[in-house]
Amino acid sequence: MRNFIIRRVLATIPVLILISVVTFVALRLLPGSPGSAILGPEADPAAVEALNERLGWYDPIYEQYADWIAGVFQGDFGYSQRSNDPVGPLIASRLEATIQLGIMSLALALLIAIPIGAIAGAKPGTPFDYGLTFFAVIGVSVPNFWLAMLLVIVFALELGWFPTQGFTPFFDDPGANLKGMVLPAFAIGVALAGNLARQVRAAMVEVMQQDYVRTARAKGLRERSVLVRHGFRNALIPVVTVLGLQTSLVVGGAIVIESFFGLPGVGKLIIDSILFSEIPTVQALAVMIALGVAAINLIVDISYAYLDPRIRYS
Amino acid sequence: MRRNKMSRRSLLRASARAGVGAVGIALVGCGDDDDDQSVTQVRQSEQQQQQQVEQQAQQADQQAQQAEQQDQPAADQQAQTQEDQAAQAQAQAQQVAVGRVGELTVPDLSGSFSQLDPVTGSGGNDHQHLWVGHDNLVGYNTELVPDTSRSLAESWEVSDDGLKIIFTIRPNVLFHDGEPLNSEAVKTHILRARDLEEGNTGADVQFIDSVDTPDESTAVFNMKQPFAPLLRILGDRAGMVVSPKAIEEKDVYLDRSPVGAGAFKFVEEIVDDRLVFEAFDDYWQPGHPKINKITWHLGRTSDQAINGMIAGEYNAQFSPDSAQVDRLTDAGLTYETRPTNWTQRYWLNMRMEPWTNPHLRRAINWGIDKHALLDVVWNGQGIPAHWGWLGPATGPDHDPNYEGYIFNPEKVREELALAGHPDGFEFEMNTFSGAQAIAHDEFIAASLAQFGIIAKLNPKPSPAFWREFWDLEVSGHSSSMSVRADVWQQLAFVHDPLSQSRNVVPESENDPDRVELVRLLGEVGAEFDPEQRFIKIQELNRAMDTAAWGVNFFHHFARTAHAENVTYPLFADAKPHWGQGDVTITA
Repeated sequence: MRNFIIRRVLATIPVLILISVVTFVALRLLPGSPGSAILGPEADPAAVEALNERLGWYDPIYEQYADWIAGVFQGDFGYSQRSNDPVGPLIASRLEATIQLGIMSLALALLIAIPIGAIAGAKPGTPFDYGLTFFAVIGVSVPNFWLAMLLVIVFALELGWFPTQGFTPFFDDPGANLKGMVLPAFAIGVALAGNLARQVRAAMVEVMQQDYVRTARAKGLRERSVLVRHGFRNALIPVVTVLGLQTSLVVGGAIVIESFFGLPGVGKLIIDSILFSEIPTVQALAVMIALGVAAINLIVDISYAYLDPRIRYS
Repeated sequence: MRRNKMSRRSLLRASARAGVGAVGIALVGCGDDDDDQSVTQVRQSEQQQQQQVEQQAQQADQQAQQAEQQDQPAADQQAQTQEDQAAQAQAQAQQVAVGRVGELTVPDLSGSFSQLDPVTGSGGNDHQHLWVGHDNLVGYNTELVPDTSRSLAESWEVSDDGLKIIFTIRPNVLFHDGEPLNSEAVKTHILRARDLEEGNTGADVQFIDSVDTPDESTAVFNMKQPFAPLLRILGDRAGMVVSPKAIEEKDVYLDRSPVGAGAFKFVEEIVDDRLVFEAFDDYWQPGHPKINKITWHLGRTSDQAINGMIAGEYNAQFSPDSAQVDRLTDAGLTYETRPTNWTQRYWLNMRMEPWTNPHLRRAINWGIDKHALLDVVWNGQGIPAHWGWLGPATGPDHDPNYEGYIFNPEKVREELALAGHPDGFEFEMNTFSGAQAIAHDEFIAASLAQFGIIAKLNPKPSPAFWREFWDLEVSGHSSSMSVRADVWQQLAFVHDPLSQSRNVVPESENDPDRVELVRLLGEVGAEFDPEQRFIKIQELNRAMDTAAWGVNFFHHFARTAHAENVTYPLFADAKPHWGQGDVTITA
């Protein structure tokens, strides 16, 4: 197992380097420059050029990349062109909202998906199964921005139960924080729940047809024990994999939902940085997200091995 | 010498009144905090204190008048004592948190501001932040008329030849870093505004040759040539004085932590999330600001802003989506408008076909029904640009009797025939990729199609939208021109070959229109006499209409929505002014 982990970590390094090179070059091919990002799109071109010159924008691209990657290895991702904040701490400051949004939406998805999927899978072909599957498909099909709009109209504007937007740090005011995160978490969580419920159902249906389940029933075990101890536990193995993959969906959902609800998270930072051609931030985010996805995949693979002793890595 | 100066007596009277008033307001603000006290009792107490304040102010006035009447050294001595007392009272008032009520919470639309340094920023929307943190050497009032009561200069004089402007700098003004305002600070700022390579104010103050500082309170601007718009221009970016210490110690525009002498000081900016300013306790105007804090929630969409206003999460918004005004008023919010000279227009690239042909330029000018455009696309939130550049909001520069381009199909056909394109022609126009901008340009395209004029629209997001305009890559660009403090700036911005908008100026230096407009711009810029200026600026306006280097569609209203308990004046520059003592919130 140790060798497997080491090999996977080492294999991640060239991927990250490739991503950094592609991102670096691609961002320089886009229109715009640091000068126009700092001084604004309406700025005098002469002023923009003077600032670009000062920031080394006209240096050869390989020199710029070498400077940047040397900084990255020292933990220096450069400076935000709009705020002049160091990019590393800037991204770190956005993690709170995104991590909370991710945890809440995943928790919500699990809360909805596991009971629904498990019950539907345990009784396939029944009206209950069809009904739950119908709602799961709707959950997957409804675009999260549209759901977010509905949630705001009903629960924020009409009923006034939740704020329409904004973020209060948890430790400043836990109540306001949770109140502000309910609608965004729901908007992402419903789609995740739909996906997960379908996976849980499919896994459950498959597991319940296995010989060991028949054996358990033949032994005279109560149906509840058969379902929970033999059926549900084994059905969770593929679900863990799917859950790992869902994390990247959370990041994707966060880009839309954080922007919609004005949450200062990584997702909103990505979209704003792209819109403003904020090159150092986009570069750093691309590398960090790639690193994060690689790490999650690694964790999923490892946990898979632990959950299913039949699996061995060579 | 032209004078715009307060006498020492009137200054004394004003400062005595202001000082006593400030103490009074401070007393009101420091009133009983007992939560059980009824609102009525608080109001009565406030009224009594207010009466005392007024009485004290009247006494101070009377004493000042007596001093003025007595033309003797003793009177001067007494006046000096009173001046000291007034200054002392003012200082006390500044030390005590005056009776400030509430906070302004504002949605700031995505991508709305570029910089917090007045010299380097470029966006028209920067000003709402800049004016909060900076006061101007010359401030202007709601009608854009220079006003000493809003200025860091106590007074100014212009020499008869227009080559010297002498500013008397207001005493006892502090920057947010504790540095005092003096003539050297003004000099440092103005020279930076003129010379900073990355700056955007160089053109505004280009005619200032040097600044002399004979003493702490006097700054003399030596001009290269007479330049009448300068005083109003100093009410814009170039006149927002930045602390010399901040200029010396840090890269102000990169640090984005502005240090001015405005009513609010910078607290924090969290990119794309919020920008916070709080009341500056040592602000020079006693009793101001009247609120504690201003927070802009950055990067909001138009819908988020409206929803937040309706839900009560924000209490003020500038330029709300004109299509959603009814939602705001239905929710009990106050919606206000006033005419401005913020002009929606087509910028025509005079260096590219088809716009080298003046008849085609005039043809599209005649071909748009501006009233219909306003009603259909903009919910009637503006005034058709039927007077060239000089709309009704330009005040003394406006000539109601002049008729510019008013929709006329016959004239369109006439110009097309003269151009040699009787059946029409095609052109390309870059339009901003927002829904309303696209609707605007589609309306125009549909209007022109009836004459065989085909507009090919290219929706582009920012920054490509702007970059292609500056880089002369497009034949046309549809956007607006924000109001400048002096309308001369708007005209020069578009018609001066040295300006940023050089791409709409014909390339040939010998182009007769270009020669004529530059000459007229120079004449208007050098004219101090209002009557003469009116004559010359009318001539310039007509010449610009004839040259038709663009199409002016309409002048936007300044528009704002706010909670019922929030008040602030609307300025003719169509920009939010929330600094000084402009915003009041009632409990």
